[in-house]
Amino acid sequence: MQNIRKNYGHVEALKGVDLALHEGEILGLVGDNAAGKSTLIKILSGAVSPTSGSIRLAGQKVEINNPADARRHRIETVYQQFALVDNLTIYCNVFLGRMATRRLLGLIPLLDKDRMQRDTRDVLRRMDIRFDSVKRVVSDLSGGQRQAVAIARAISFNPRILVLDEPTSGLAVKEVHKIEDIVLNFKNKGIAVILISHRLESIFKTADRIVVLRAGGKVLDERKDQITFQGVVEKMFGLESESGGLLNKIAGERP
Amino acid sequence: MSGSAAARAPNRLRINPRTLAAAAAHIGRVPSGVILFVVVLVLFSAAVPEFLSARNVTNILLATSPLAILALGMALVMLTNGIDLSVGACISFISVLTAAVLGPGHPIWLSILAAILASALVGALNGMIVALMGIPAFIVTLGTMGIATGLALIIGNGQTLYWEKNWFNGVALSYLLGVPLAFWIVLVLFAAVLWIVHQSVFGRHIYGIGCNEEALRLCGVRIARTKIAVYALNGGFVGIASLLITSRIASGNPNIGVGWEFEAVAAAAIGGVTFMGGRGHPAFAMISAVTITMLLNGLGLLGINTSIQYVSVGAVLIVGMSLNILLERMTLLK
Repeated sequence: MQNIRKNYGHVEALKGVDLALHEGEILGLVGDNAAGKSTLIKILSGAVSPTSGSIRLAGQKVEINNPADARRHRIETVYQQFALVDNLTIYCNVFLGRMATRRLLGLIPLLDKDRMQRDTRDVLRRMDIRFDSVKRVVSDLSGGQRQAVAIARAISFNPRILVLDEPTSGLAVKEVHKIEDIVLNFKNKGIAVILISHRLESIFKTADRIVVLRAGGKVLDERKDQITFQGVVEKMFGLESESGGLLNKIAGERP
Repeated sequence: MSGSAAARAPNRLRINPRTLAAAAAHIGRVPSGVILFVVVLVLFSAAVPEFLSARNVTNILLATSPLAILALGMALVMLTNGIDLSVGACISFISVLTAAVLGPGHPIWLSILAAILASALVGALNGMIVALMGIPAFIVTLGTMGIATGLALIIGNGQTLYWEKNWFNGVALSYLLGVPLAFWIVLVLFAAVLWIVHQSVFGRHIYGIGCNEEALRLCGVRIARTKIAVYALNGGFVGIASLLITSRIASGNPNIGVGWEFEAVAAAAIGGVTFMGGRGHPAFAMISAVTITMLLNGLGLLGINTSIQYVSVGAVLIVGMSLNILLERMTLLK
């Protein structure tokens, strides 16, 4: 993504952000509220159009004007709130927007439930996730299980870029670890992941590189081993302008 | 009694609270429409000897047919978090339109086709405004109600229209294997709705839109197209119901549809289809339509006047909705 700008009226949500992502890389995208993270990934996933800027995939310039365009370019996004339809089963959620059908007597189209259930079990198995039945209604699942279903749906589209928006938000510690393991597993499969999370522990555990946005601009883009937890926090909240870093000062003043 | 037997006795009477909660949760899954159906059936069977006679059952099936069809369509609309208040006015409009086509001697098939298409068109128009303009269905269909009422009066100049008697007059009163033809039509439409709900992608999208429209949109589902199709389908069902009513009264009456929207919404709501969308099943809406008809029929047999019958339908709607809320709470006990 090159020089991405987005204005909402007089408000500049993004001020010319560049973002590069490599195959099999996990990129942690962090920032305070209103930093521009959501706007940036919505542009990548086609939910929002940029005011200016361009997107290139494998060197080729691409136009992403809607979610269908993003899917065509094998970019999948798992949104925090809009991920699942609670009253549908696990397998229907995994196949949302592309349900398989067969024809009865060559005429009457019927949902191919067997195929969808089988394929859903396959995707979940590849992610090392187990459910007693894929026919369970999503509203009966725990937060972590729901997130796993949402990620399974994205994976079933065979993406090359997977965007995860706050996948561990509101989850219990055990479920957070499970989701982190799932994300780490994508690295081996060559899928590039953009992980947005307020939970910096998760970012440091899973990401290869960390990008910090603040007030619509990119203020940090470093490999994980080149930056500290404290450094990221300082960049997120603009505390680094203080000489030596405010957090360092605070840490130094401690008895 | 020995000491050990006395000690065991209280245990035999003890009810495990978990078992009780599980039983309550199980009962809670039954929509109030089914419970009210059984209650109304048992009460009137006991109170009126001829209630379950073959002749009266046939009468109930005949009388319930238009409402059952309307309830099926309304249930689909309500599942998408919508509502169609123009149903009654459309019945009047289609009734007069059918008579206006039949009157000059046009072919019967043409009048049937015109009725269903015109009604589906009104439905599609409702769906388009709801889906594309984002105006609440309540407001849109209230507007269409006014337009359809006006059209019914304009076409017939405010008069009831008649036509020369033909086979169309007998459709609503014909029987096949002892069952009213009208009810066979209900069964065919019911089968179609079952296919939509259980076996079609369209059906999954209907439930999905009512629950989380944004999730479907982000998955590339064409929300507007689905909504327009649902309202158009409901419109088609309204057209069929209107044809049955028109055939039965053998005339085109500009006021015949008054109050049908209330009964259709009541049937769907008692049947457990929520106003929030995404939950409920059209089958239970249809059962509730039969319940409402049985109630009116039973009260009629008891000699209770029409005004009180209307009061009873309103009361059943409130009882049914309250019961649905109670049942929903019971499911949380597990």
